[in-house]
Amino acid sequence: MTTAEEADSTVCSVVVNDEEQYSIWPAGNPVPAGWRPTGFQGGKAECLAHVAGIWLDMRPLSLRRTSADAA
Amino acid sequence: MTTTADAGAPARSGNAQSVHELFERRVALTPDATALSRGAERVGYAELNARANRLAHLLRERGVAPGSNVAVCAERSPEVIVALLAVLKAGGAYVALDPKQPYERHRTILTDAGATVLLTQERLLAGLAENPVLLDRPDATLAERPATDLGLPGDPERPAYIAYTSGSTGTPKGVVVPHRAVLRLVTEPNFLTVGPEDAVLQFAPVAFDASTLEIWAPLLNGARLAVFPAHDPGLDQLAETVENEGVTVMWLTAGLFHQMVDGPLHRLSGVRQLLAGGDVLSVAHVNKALAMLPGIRVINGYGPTENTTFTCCHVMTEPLDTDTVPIGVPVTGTRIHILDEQGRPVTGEEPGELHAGGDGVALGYLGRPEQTAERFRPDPDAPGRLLYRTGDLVRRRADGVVEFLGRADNQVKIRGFRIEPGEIEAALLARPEITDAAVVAQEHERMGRRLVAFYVADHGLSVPELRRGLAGTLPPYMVPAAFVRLMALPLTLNGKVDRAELRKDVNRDRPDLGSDYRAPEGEVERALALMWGDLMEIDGIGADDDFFELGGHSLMATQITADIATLWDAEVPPRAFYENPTVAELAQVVEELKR
Repeated sequence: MTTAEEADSTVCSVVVNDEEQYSIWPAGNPVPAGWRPTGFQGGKAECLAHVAGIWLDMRPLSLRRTSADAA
Repeated sequence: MTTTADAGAPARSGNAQSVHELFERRVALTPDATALSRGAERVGYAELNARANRLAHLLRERGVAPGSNVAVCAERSPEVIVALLAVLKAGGAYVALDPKQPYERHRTILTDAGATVLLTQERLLAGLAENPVLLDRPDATLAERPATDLGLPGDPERPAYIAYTSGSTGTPKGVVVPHRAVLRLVTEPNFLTVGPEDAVLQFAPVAFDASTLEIWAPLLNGARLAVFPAHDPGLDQLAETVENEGVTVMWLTAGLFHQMVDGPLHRLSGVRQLLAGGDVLSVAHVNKALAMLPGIRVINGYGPTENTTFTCCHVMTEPLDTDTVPIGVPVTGTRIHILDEQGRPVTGEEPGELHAGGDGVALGYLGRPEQTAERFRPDPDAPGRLLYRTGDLVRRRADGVVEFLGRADNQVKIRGFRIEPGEIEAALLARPEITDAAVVAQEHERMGRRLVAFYVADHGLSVPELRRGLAGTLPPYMVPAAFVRLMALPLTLNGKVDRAELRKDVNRDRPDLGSDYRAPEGEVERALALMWGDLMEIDGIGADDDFFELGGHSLMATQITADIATLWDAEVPPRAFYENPTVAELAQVVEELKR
């Protein structure tokens, strides 16, 4: 059984939530509440590489804001 | 199908937003109660808070602020607890380094975490960073620092600690655990009761996340934390401390739990709740513990670091009549989903991959967006929240209790430690002589699982040299027990390394050691060589062969010590294996004790 080994051929979407955390989701499936597609689609590896290029500050947005207030 | 335990840790923690805030409330409630004990040493809640505050003020002056990662490399001690609290109070997240791990690995982690401040003990790794804070030789000005709470606003999403775990790509990765995840583990948990009358043992290395439960469950619930001394104990010393400290709650990794049940179990009669896990527990041992310790609750604790220590727990008060020990039901503040390969919920008792959601889910892997997005997915049941893919295959029984079936990938557990074989393979491939490598875990009847490295090279390599090389960069539990040279790695039909084949390829040949073979002589030498060979799965161990070069480790030493005691009524001290590492030398120790 290879549940963890998703087929690399699956087309995925890059999705993001209100905390600006990124993840991937099978393209074509309805995106869960609280998440929205960024518009980028591709194979799993392509999507993950795209995430690596855009998710530069990994702190949740709310934490970035409170940290900015505290500074 | 989804199982939900009630979520919302901040509500259960009386709206405390952070670990240290909840601790400070405990201090206000019971300032004189004992927070820490070690032998005759006692530290009250108010005193612990004052010591942590002084250190936290010092850390602020050193530049620690919300968002800082602060390294702590120290042996188990009350100072370490002061240090962890101080880091949190100063707004930082602690990065615990295990003093037993190699210097090179510490350097890798310090750089990865961007930790600029190091708290350590003088005898350890003071040279690892410039100007470290020495916990055992406090700064003379520390006493002048204010003992008052810092009062920085807490944030439930702020990281509390970063726990490094083995990474399949060759470097360890840091799991970023926020305050709310720790609060979710220890406030009104459904698997444990901890109150002012309890004493919880601090035994796990702080670098491993069992310590999250051990440390914060007592300190955030008004109980006492009984700190075990720094050294590695034998079973009897461990049991003696449990008795002397009046420990009522303790955690043991699966291997140690099994040994304790086979050893001085009766001495744990004061323990009310015995948690065990980190690997598969045996039904026979659980049942024996329940039978021998009336009134005890044995709790199988299951969960990856990414969902903060525990995801599911099975609480047992009656003997089991099943073949396996279940992992139970989700802990408070956790939802689990069992999904098939397409990410759809399985039906009925079908097996699937366990996904964990709720307040225990970590923020991801520090500085690794790609790996984070790969493992942390949108939670379909909680808007905007993350769901962690554990890689563990499970099945939910008709009565709702979950059973662990195995891994969906190559990750293995050795003596409770989680290991990605890919990390060891990368370390082997870093050597120019090695052109291909695969590491698998092989099952062993008596000692459980052990790592075996298969490598391809033009000529055989010296095993002690290979082992020394790996021990320079990897933690001790990641150094394989055996090394086997192959002409080529076996491949499956689709061209991947055939790990199933390698798992079956048990090689019992004596490895190429630094010493020539000399036959054991006399009753004790011969018996010891056989005893070692049984545990290590090696035929023909010689009299001058070295315990550690053969792949021996502390759990094996404990087993051999017990066997020696049974055979010759001789109590060999744990250090004997370090001071007298060969068969002949250890036999000499036994001969002297027999007299």
